[in-house]
Amino acid sequence: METFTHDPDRDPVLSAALRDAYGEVPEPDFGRMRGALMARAELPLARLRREQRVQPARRRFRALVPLAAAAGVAGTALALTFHQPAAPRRDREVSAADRAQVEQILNESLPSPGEMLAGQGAGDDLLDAAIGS
Amino acid sequence: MSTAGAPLRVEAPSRPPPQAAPDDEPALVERVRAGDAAAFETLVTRYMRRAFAVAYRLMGQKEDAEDLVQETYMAVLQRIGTFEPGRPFAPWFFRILVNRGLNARKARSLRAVDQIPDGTAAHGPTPEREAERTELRERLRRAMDALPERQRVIVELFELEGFGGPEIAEILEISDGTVRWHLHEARKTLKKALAPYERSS
Repeated sequence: METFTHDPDRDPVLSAALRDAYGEVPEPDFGRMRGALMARAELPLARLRREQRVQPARRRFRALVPLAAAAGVAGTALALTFHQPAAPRRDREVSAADRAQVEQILNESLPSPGEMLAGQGAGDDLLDAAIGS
Repeated sequence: MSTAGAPLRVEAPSRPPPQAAPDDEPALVERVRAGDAAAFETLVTRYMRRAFAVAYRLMGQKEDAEDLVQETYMAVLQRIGTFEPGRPFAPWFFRILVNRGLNARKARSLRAVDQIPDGTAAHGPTPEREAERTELRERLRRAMDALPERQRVIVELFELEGFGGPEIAEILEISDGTVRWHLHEARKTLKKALAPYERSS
């Protein structure tokens, strides 16, 4: 039984018979082939050159992204630490005098509630009351 | 089939052994990665001849082989960014070539070669002898066509193009042992096709 532990030798009879059956490899015009190939390669090579130029800038940009993110997080944290929340707004106390003055103005400018319910109030009176003039 | 007459002599032409990767190759690949046209041309010139031979064995036609070589070099440029620096270039290159060749062969359902080379009749064999040779070639080609794809490629690379077992293993991404096993199995099959010839010689 054959073992497969060593690199086999070429079989000269088989090689020759195969060569005879399939023929020798023809000789193409390698110069023309190389020319055509180099012409086709121009664009991909230019692309590689461009990538080479762009890549360092891209790498620098990539390095900056985590730094920018870290700076953003730190800034937010600092802002939250030093920012004092505004005290809840309290409505100004209305004095009794102010309240009396407002009531007096309303009494003078609005028709009586009875008139308003009966639809006897002038439209202008309602409008004035609504806009507060 | 007649086996009479002088034994059929087929001489294996001596082929140069596969070249070792030159020392400048990692630097060349690095320059190609940067889009250096001169470096790319050096790689093209270095491997074109051997690439064409392998492509021709895979495709069986000169024009198809030329196309395959061109497509392979274009694929190299496309994928050079994925090539691991420090690895040998040749196995990676031939892997692309063989895979593309096998795909193209499958797609076009190509048979190896349809024409029988005329050069073998140059020494004026008798018609009987010529008929015998033709039959032998046909048998061998049929036997090769019947081999599993992988075995056939291994035979083409090993027996015809002079690649070594470890090289083939790297190209096909299989172990050395598997290459040897496939080669052994393929040889057994092909020897059967060659048996009438061996008896006659």
